[in-house]
Amino acid sequence: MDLIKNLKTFKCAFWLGFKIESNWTDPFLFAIYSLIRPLSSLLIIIFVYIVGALSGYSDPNYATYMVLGNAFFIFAAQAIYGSIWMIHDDREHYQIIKYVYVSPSNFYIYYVGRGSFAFLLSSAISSLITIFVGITFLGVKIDFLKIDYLFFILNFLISLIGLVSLSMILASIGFFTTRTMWSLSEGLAGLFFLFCGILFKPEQFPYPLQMFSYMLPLTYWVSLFRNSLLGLRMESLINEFIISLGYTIFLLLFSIIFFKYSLNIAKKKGIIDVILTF
Amino acid sequence: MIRSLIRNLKAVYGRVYVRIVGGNRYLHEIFADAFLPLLNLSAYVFVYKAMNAPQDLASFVIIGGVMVTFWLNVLWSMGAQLYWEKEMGNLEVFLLAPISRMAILFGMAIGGMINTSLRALATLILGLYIFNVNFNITNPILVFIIFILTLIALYALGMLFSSLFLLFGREAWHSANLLQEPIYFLSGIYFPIKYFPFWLQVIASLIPLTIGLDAMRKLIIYGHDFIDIQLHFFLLISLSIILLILAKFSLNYMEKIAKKEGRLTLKWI
Repeated sequence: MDLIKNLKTFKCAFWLGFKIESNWTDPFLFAIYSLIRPLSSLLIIIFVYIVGALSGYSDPNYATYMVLGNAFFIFAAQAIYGSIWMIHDDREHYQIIKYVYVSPSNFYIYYVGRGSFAFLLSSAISSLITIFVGITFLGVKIDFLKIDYLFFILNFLISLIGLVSLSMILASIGFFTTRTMWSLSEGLAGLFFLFCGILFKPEQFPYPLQMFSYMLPLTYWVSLFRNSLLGLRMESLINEFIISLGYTIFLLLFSIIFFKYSLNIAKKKGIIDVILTF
Repeated sequence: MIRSLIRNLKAVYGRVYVRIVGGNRYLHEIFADAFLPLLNLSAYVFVYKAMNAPQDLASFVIIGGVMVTFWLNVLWSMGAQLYWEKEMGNLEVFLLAPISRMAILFGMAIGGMINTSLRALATLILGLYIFNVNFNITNPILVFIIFILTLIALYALGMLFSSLFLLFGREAWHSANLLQEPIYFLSGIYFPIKYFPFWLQVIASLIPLTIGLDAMRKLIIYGHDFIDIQLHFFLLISLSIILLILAKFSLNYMEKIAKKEGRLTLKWI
């Protein structure tokens, strides 16, 4: 019974997220909007690669490394930035958070659904475009017959659940903070972009920073995404897979507990619907 | 005339005050604003290191990474600002006040410039220290002049955006979001734009950030002098004048349309 109720909450919140993201314009303009951002990010990477290559560097696999890293980072960035906007929008902009809270729906599920459109569909489109352009113009080599699709999907699902959990932890912090959230999201996205092997291998760092890099879950998620698309099998990536799964389970459980805890703090302080924008 | 000027100058001061006090209320925010841009720019410095590219590319990235903070400020705290003021209910108060709308925009621009400059300076110093990059500046006064001219042109563009976004509803947020990364690309924040095809270089040159960045890199990294950047100098002056005039006309025009269509204080759409 609860499952059906939660699914309904998810569906409604997903629809709301879709409406908020897309109904400000017509579908054609929305499609262009969805294309331009990922293409611009990719073009930056392409030109950085070209400039580096013209300086004499010649590793044909490096472009593949960068493009696939960037294709996955789109999901991470959306998870991080999106979670911040959800709470801020509902509380301070549209001022509906109190109405959602007093409705019989599960608050946690509502926010998972609310952020899922941007996180899943919008990011998936951007990610696919990135990979397509990478293959077409940068010579990114993916052998689609070699991919172990079951392993890839399993990995991808685990990392998506991990990212959603991470975004819910950030959203929870949003209950009792205001402008700090921008710095926090910016910092976390920057940290992941730099340290998680998105554009270059963590081995580039001096030793203590390498260690730090391997302490971050995104390092494993992006590595598994990249390697499973390149056709590597589960047997050769089993250690990374176990670590990735462990991080996801931990983050999921922690996000549920922390969400409840943060909500309680916000209720106790009476700031659940406070408007503090200045 | 003089009384009106004084009133408008007071309005400028009032808006600058809000910006500076509001922007520096929390110490952790100042630290975050100075430190966080380093994370992104460091990623590109490491990419160039991974590709054994020449050291001057790291300097390129650091200058680009510092200047990008101004672009973000222009886009979000200038361009989208009137939209936010509308959503928060402040816009009607601004419009009722017996002051020029441009005074409010000037105040926002000056406050934004001061706030962002302090943070950008901290980012620059940290970047230089961490990556041990050497600059080759032969004419620091010229660097300062070009920097100020770039800011004037850039914030004039922000004022123009601000007036355009006045009419927008939620498109304002999306438009600002949409403009962010394409300008990173076109301005050559992380690479020299000489690698662009010619037609793209021409398009990119219409953006003040591109011209300012190119001039500053020539002056700071390669030790060039005025003769090498005179075209940049005149382009930045021309752009500043054109954009300020456009912003003034656009603001009046958009306000008229918004009033006619009854959208000036319409929220949440």
